[in-house]
Amino acid sequence: MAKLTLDEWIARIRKNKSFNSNAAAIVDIPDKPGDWEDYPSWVDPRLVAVLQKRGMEKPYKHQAQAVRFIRNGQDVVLVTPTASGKTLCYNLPVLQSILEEPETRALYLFPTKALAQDQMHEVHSLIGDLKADIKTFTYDGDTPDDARQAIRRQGHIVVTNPDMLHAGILPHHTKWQKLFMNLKYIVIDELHIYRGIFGSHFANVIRRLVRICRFYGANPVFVCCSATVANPREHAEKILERPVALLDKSGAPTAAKTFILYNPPIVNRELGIRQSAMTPARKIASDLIDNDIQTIVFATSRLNVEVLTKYLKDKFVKTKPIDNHFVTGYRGGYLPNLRREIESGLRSREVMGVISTNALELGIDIGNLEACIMTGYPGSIASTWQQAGRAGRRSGHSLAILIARSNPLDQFIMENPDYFFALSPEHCRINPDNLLILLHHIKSAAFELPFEKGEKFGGENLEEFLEYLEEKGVLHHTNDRWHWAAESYPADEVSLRSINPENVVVVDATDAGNHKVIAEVDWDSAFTMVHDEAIYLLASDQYHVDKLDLERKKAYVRKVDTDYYTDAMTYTNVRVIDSFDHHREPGAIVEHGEVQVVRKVVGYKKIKFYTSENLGYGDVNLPEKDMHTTSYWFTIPRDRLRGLGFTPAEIIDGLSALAYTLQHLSAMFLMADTHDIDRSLGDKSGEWFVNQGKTGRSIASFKEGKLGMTDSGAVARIDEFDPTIFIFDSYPGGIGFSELLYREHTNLLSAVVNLIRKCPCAYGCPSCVGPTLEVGKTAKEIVPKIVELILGK
Amino acid sequence: MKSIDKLKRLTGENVNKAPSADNSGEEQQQNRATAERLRQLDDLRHRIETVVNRSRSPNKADLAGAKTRGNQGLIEILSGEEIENEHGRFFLVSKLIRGSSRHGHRNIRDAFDFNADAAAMLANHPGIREYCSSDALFLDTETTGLSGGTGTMAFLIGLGWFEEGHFHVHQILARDFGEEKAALAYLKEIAERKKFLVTFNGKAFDINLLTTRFILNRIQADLAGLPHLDLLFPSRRILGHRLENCRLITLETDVLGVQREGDIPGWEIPQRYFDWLRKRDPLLLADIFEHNRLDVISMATLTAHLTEILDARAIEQYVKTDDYLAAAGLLLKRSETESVEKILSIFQGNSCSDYSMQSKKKLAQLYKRTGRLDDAAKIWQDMAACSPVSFYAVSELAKWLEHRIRDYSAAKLLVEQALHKENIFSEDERESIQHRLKRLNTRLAAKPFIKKDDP
Repeated sequence: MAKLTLDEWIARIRKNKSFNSNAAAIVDIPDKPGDWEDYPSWVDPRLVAVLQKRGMEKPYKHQAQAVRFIRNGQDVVLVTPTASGKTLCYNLPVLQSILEEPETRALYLFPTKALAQDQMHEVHSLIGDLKADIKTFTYDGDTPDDARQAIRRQGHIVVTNPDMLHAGILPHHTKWQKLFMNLKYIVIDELHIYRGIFGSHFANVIRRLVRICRFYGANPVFVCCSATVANPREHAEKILERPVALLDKSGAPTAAKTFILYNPPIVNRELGIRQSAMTPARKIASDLIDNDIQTIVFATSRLNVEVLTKYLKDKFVKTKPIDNHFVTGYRGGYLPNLRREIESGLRSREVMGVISTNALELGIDIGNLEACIMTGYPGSIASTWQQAGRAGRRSGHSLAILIARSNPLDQFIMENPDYFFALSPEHCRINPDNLLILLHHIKSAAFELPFEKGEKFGGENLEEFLEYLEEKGVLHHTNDRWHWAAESYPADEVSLRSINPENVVVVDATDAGNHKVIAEVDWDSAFTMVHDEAIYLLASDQYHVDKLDLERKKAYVRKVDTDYYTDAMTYTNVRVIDSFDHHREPGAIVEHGEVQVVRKVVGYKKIKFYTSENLGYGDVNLPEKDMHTTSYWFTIPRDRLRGLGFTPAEIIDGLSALAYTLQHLSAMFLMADTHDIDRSLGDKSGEWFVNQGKTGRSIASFKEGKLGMTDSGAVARIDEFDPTIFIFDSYPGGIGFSELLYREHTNLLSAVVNLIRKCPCAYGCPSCVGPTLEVGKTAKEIVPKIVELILGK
Repeated sequence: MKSIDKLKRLTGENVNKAPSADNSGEEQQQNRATAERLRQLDDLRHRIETVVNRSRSPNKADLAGAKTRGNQGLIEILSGEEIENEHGRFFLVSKLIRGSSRHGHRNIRDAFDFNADAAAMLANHPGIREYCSSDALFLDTETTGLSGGTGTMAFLIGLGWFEEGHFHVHQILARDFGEEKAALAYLKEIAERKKFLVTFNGKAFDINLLTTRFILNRIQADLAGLPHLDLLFPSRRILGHRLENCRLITLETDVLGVQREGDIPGWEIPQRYFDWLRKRDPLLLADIFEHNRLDVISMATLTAHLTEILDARAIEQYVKTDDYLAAAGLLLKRSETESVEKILSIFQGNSCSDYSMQSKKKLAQLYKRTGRLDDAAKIWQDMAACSPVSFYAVSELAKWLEHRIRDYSAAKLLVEQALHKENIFSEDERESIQHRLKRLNTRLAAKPFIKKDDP
C-alpha cells in the first residue's frame, strides 16, 4: 500500500464517518504571515550580521518591541507561542549589553536541567558565530567541581535552575560577588511552570535573589517568558513583586495545523462508559507511523506510557524486527543515556514513534515531528498547546489530536471546544506566603544575610517570624539585626518541587551475579509502583518486584513475561486538626482549616493486558504516609440525610459521587492539576472513612492508627457518623486552594448540579458523578437532592 | 489568629495552651522551675569539670573564683582586653609563648628558624622562598558551623607569628555578631604586616570563610591573594601513610608529641558559642580559646617538623624512614633535584637495605628524568650489585648499556648473570629479560665487533 502524506491522511480521515461522528471538533488553524520590524539602530552591526546570516533578516515586531523594553530597563513578561523566537527577545539585549560593557552579567533560569542545556546550545552557537569573548556556562548539579570557580568569576551568562539557585548559589553568594555586582539581566523562562507549590517556593527564591542583588547594589531587569495563560502579567507581578509590562502580540508567522478533539465512542450507554482513550490512541498512532508520519504520543501516566509502548512495539515487531527503537517509550526514570539516544533518534528520524509523559512537553530539542496524539487531556490548556506544539514547530502542516478520557475535565473540554480554542481561561496561582514555605525561605534568607529591623520579606509580619526563629534558637538578635546562629544549612532542608526529594532505585536482579540499576522512582511513587509483588513496566519490559527495601531505598526486580500488570489500591483517611473558619448552610456546616491525611497502600489488583480483566488481588504491607495540610470540608447531619428517603447505601453512593464531581470541578475552578487536590469522604474525627476503591465501596474504621476493614455488609454504619466531604490540598501546609474553595462553596455546588443535569448519560457516568459501577445507579438522582438539602433550595 | 500561631499548628507545636480549669498553669510553672534548677545544676557540674580538666591553665585560681559573667568575666578569666577601632569593639587575648617553653617534642625556639625554601616547596609556592619565618602568619578559626556558605561565622580568629625568638598568639573574639566587623578589621591590619599564611585546611575552609565574612562586612581585604602554606596537603603526603587520619590532633599525638588534656571536641564548639550568646558565661568560651591556642602553636611546630624533613635534618627519633621516602616522592613530583638528593643521601652508601634500594630507585628515576643518565647508571650499577638482584636495576642498566653505550656484550653478560644469580623475577620479568638476551645475541651476531667507547 502506498504511504500517505500527512495532508492525504487528514483528507482521508475527514471522510471517515465513524471517525467524524466521534470528533468533537476538527479545527484548521490557518497559517499566519509574519510581522517584521527593523533592528533598532543601537544594535551592534556584528550582532545584526550574525542574526541575518541565520536567516533573521529582520526581527519580528514583538521581538523588536521586547528588545526595546528590556533595553530601557523595563521588566517584561513575554507571552508568545512556541517557535515565535522568544529566546532572541532576551539574547539580543543581553549580548548587546555584554558587547558594550564586557563586565555585564546575566542569569538565565530554566525549570529543568534539560531545558537549560538545550538553551545553552542556542546561545553558544550564537556567540560562536559572533566570535566574541563571551562566556556562557550552565551551572547545575552536574557541573564538575573544578569548573565551578571559573564559572563564578568568568561566566557572562550563567544558565541554571531554581533548585541550584536556591541551594547552591544564593547561600554562597559571596563566591558569586562578581556576578551579582554586575548583574543586569535575569531571564525566567517557562514562567507558567512556577505555579502551585513549586511557584510558591520559586517566588520566595526570587525574593531572596532580589535581596542579594540589593546587597551588591545591583538592580537587574527581569525578562519572563510564559506559555499562554489567562493571567501572565498578574502571575509575573506576584512572583516578582513589582510592576511588569506584558507583551503578548506575536509577530511570528505560524504554519497551518489541524487540531482534532476526539471523544471515544460510548461503549455502554447505560453505564455511560466510553472506550478507553488508549484504544483510539493505539490505532491512530500505528496508522500514522505506518504511513511514515513521525508521531509523538503523550500519555498521562508512566504506566500508560509503558502499556502503549508495549502495544505499539507488538504491532511493529513483525515489520521492524531489528530496530528496537523504531517505536519507543520516554519518561522520567529512564536513565539519561537512553534518553539522549532517543532524542537524537527522533531528530534523525530513526525513531518514528515515541510515547512519552509530559517529560517531552517542554523545549527539549527533538526536531520536527509531524503528528501529536494526546491520550487524555494533559490537565491544562497551556500544557495541551505545548504538547501539540511538539509537532510542527517550524513549518509545514501538522496534526494534533486530543483524545478525551471519561473524567469530567476531559469531557468538559469536548463539550466546550470554544473554551479550548478561544482565550485561555487558565490562571496560575501561587501562595508565596504559605506559612511553612515562607518560614523556610526566611531561614534561608537569614543564612544568606542577616535581617535588619524594618526589612520586608513576604506578606506576613516578618518580625514575628524572626522572633519565632530566635525563640527556636536558630537566629540571634543583636543591634537590630537577626543573624543566623545555627550549624545547619537551611537550603538543604526542603526541596522546591517534591515533598520528599528521596528516590528509590530499581535494581534488576534477574542475573544474580550481575545486579543492574535500571531506573529510579520517586519516593511517593515507589509505594504504588514498586511495592512487593508489583509488576514494574520499563521500556515495555515487565519486571516482577521481589522486594521493596524502603530502608535502603532499593526495589529488587526480576525480568518476567506475564500477561498482566498491577494497579495499587490506596486508602485515604482525613482527620480535622483545626478549623480556621466555618459557616452554616441550611443543611451543612462548611469549614476550612488544617487536617491530617493518612494514606496507605493496602493491596493491588492484577489486570490483564488488552482485556483489562481483573485477575485477582494481593496484599501490600507498607507503612502509612502522614501529612498535615489544609482542606475545605462540609458536614451534613446524618438525620437530615436520612430524611431524603434513600437507603444508607444509596446515600453513601450519592456522597461519593458528589465528592468525585467536586474534586474535578474544583481543579477547574482553581486551574489546578487534579493531582494537586484530593478528596475523601468520612467523618470529622477521622474515625470512619469510606474507601473509594474501583471495585466497590466499603466503610473502614480507623482507630488508634489501626485500619479495621469492614466489608460492604457494614454500609449501614453510615448511621454511626455525620458524613463529611473533604477536598484538600495534596501538599503539606496547603497551597491556599482550600480557603478559595471555602469561599466558592456555593458556586461549586451549583456547578455540580449544573454539570450533572447537563450530562446526557442515563444514570451517571465518569463525566459527571463518576462511573456507575463505582457510584451506583441512583447517584445521578441523589446528588442534586443532597445539594438542595445543603443549600436549602 | 496571629500567623505565627497558625504556623505552630501546622508544624504540630503547642500554642500557649489555654490554662484549663484546674491549676495546671501553676504546675507548669513548677515544672519550669524544676527544669531551670536542673539546668543550673548541669551547668555547674560542667563548669567544675572544665576547671578540673584544664589542669594546665595558667589562671587556675582565677578560674575557680570567677563568678563574673559577660564581658567583664571574659576579661578576668582569659586575661584579655577590649579593643576599639573605627568599626567598634572586640575582645583580644594576646599571649607570648617564650622561646624556652616546650610544645611536644621541642622548644618553641627550635621551631623559629624554619627553612623558607622548604616551606615554599611544601606550599608549592616559590614566592615564599623570598620570605623568612617571621613573615609567616599562622591562622586558625573557630566557627559557628562546618557547613560553609554565608551563614557560618568565624567568631574566634587565632593568629600566631614568630618575633625575636618567641611566638606570639593573638586571639580575636567577636563577642557577638555585632563585633565581627571590628574583629575582621583587626585581622586585616595584622595580615597586612605579614607576607604569607600558614593554616591547616585553610585553603578549603578558613580562608574561604573569612573571605566571605569580609565581603559581608564590606571590608576590602584579599587574604586569599596571600601566598598560602596549607599544612594539610603536605602532612597527608608525607605523614599520611602511617596515620589513622590526618587531623591536626592526630598529628600532634603521633608526630609532634603533644598531649592535650581536657580538650574540647571540635563538634561542641559552635553550640558553646551559641550558648555564650545567650548565657554570657565566659567559662563556655575558655576551653575554646585554649583549643584554638594549641592549634595555632601546633601549626608552628608542624611547619618546623615538615620543613626539617624536606631539609633532611629532622629529629631522628620522631621521623620514620618512610616519611623521608614520601617527602622525596613529593619533591620528585616537583622536580626539586637538589632536595631529593639531599634527603635520599641519608640512605646512600653501599647498603642493600630495602629503604636504601627504594631511595636509590627514586633518585635514579629523578636522574633519568632530568637527563643525567650517567649518574643514574652509577646507581643502577650499585643496585645491580645487591642480591637478590632487582628487575628494575637489571633492565634499566641493560637498556643503558644496549642503547646508550652500545656495549652489547656487557649488556649480554649482565642479563645472563642476572638470570643465573639469585633473583626475584616474576614470570613476565623473566620473559622480558630473556627477550632482551635474544635480541642482544642477534645484534652481536650481526655486528660482533662494533662497540662504542671501547676503552
